[in-house]
Amino acid sequence: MNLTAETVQSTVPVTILHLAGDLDAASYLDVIAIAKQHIQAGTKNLLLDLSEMRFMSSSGLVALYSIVMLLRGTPPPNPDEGWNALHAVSREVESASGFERHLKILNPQPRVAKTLNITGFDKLIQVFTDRDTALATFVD
Amino acid sequence: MICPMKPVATLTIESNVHELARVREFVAETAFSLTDNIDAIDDLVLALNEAVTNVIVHGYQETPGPIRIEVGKDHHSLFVTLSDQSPAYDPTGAPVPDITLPLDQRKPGGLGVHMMRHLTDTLLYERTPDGENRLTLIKYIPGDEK
Repeated sequence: MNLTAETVQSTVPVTILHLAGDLDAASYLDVIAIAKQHIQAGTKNLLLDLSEMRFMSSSGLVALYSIVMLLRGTPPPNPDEGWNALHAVSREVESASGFERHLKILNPQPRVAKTLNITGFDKLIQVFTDRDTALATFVD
Repeated sequence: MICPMKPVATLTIESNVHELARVREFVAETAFSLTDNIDAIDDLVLALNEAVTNVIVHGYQETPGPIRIEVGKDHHSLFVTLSDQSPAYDPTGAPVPDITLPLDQRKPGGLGVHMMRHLTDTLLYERTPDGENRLTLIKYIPGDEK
């Protein structure tokens, strides 16, 4: 998995994380760590560009959920506690009442989009196909 | 024996999350030699990835152990059989999350097992007399002529 970042000025500053490669149990901790670095450095809005991500498993969903928690300022599920982290994700997705305001997804490839869809993550995190449209939805 | 289907290729790995990419590549390449149905192959690869991850993380708890993956085709179905020697675990018996209950009454359900069920047509599990978990994931490929 290759990760690069850029920060752009839209209505508010937005950090775009470009995730390329496979997001699975071997790489998801790296994604959480990079996102955590940016959030601790002051990032409040994240757009995940998944256009070059070829594969995402449930481990990747744990990473997405962890980033949601970090942006909310609440502790993420502890991956060291094992796959119980996934149970927290399941409960969160089932109870989602709207999209996250500070985390969005851009251009997932079809099979990554399918992973988001069959697990309900596309009801928790809004998915866009146009970068400018996605950036414009960050307002605070 | 609940899975008499004959595989066309076998891969054995050590339990390690860094082997997952090799498992996915092996299953995808073998399955593509058996069918042109890319959607079915993608579903089976993702479902198997979840199953192997469960074995590595839950079964062997990230300690060494062998995992065998066999791929084949039986009439109009692709199948993958996963064998390991970790403690007995039947993912086909895991509870299905009831999302109609209030939050505080729901039992947690793993996304990995949910995905395996959603992406395959049949999951078969047996604990063999030799002390192996054998999980077979079957994906129906209607109209396949390859």
